[in-house]
Amino acid sequence: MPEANPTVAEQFDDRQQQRDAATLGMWTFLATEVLFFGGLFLAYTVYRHFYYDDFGAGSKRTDLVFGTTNSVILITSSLSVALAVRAANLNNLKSTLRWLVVTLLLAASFLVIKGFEYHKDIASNLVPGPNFTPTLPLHAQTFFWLYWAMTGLHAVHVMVGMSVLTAITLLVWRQRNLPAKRTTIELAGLYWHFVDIVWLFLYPLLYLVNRHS
Amino acid sequence: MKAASPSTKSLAITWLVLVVLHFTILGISMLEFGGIGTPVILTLAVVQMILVMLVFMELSRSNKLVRLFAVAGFFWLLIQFTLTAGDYLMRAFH
Repeated sequence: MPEANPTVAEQFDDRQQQRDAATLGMWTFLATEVLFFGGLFLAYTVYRHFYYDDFGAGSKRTDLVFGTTNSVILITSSLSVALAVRAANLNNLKSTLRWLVVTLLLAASFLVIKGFEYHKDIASNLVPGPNFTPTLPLHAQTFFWLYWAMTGLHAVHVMVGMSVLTAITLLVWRQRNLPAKRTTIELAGLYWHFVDIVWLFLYPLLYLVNRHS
Repeated sequence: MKAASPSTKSLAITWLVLVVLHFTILGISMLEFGGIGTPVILTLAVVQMILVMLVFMELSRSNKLVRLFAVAGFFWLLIQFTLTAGDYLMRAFH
């Protein structure tokens, strides 16, 4: 009888089958995430269709510098996590750890910048409700409701991704057993890229409506 | 035999293209394009998404079942958007 491989669970024939099953599971989860954010994107589309001018006026009050900087940070963090996955596949422990830490630092920078941006938005009375700035038309409130909901839920996803990546980084660092964690790193990478993709659409839809006029 | 992951070079080039597309999107939004600005911007965002999925998420190397699952979420989303848009567009005829 062949000796049991500690990195392959008993229900799988080999590591490849285990990896394929895990990857398929992650993509299934990501399909539900597409629909989760999809509802908000749909609400955005309908309201923007009805209140285009108000959405344009609201969008102009978002901070383009913070938004643009954060986009570049998130795109770069996608690169760094892809490099971590590559290093893990090449069994390079040091490089894997380095790129995971770079990804975490970029993710933290994203959240810090978002924090400064939210602070500025709150100070500018851009939170829908009785204190909403009277300088904007009525349905700019609808725009900002969607702005807070979509960027807020996205930020929650960034935090979840950071927690997962932190846990993986610590485990890899302590156990020094890269083959056992390779699939986990790949799956966390897939999740992180999804968070990046959501932002690739949030950026033009929230920050760039009718900027030219 | 395929390498286990895309090369560092192809990852770096993908990153560069994503950043260039990002600033192209920003530039287009600043210019008056007579109503076609938004469709162009969203098309470029879709190109960015496809690049991330194919290279960073390694879909170009994944098996067909994984690719099918990756597309499935967007297919359901398309149905959601089509039915909703159908409703709102038909209301114009009342």
